[in-house]
Amino acid sequence: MSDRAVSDQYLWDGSGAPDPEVERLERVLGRLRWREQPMPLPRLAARAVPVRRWLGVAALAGGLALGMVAWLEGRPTPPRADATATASVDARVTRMSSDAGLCDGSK
Amino acid sequence: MLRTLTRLPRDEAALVVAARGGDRVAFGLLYRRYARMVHGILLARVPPGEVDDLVQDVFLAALRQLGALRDAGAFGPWLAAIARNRARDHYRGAAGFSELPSDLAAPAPATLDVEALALLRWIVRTLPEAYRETVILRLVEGMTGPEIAARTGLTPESVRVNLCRGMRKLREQMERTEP
Repeated sequence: MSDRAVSDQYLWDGSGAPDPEVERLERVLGRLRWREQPMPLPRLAARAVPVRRWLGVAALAGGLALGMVAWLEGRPTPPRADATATASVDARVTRMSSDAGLCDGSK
Repeated sequence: MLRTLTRLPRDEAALVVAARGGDRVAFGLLYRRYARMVHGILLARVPPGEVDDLVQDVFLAALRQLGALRDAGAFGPWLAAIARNRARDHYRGAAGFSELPSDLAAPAPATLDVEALALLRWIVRTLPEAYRETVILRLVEGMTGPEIAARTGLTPESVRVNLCRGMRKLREQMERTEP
């Protein structure tokens, strides 16, 4: 293998005999190499993902609220306690009147 | 130059699919794997002091556009294209790094190494763009030839040619004027 082939192999994948010129360039230029920094991902993700999520939650909450209102307005009103009592008295009076009719021969 | 999309390992394609589905951890892993490549591509085109911010820009753009990437195995070449476009946009209407006069101090943090910057500037001026990116990925970012091919989507043959011809050109220049 020629010297040039050896140098090219070092240039290619760093294996084989080191090429002094390539090594020097690597050593100096390596100081400019990428130094890992945190990715500003949460800022973007916090803006992008939850917007869709919150829209879904808002739509669900709105639907539930509308359903609740419709149910409350549509359900039969339960009779109040005093109305029940009045109805019982009325029923008794009616029955007594009927009974009276039977007894006094008006029926 | 002939370009083919080098298929990524299956787990990497799976990472891309997960990231596309909103998985932040998956995207973070892709960021860690590809930040060096993006940094090198930008360093070959824009002043070093502006590269770090542009790396972040490239990944944010990738995150926004990830839904448009149909082939999860083509993430590297796709990201490399975004980085090259971002560098081009950076200079739209302005002079490029390679055209800057030598006496004009390119914006760079004081912490950057003067010797390394001078050497980088010399490489950027000396090499045509086709060789420059590959040589910088190898000499600055420390990526091997096979790694450059796998990440960028260039064929291994193209990477080898770019490295050998680029280095030959640098040697010729070194013999004339030591940087």
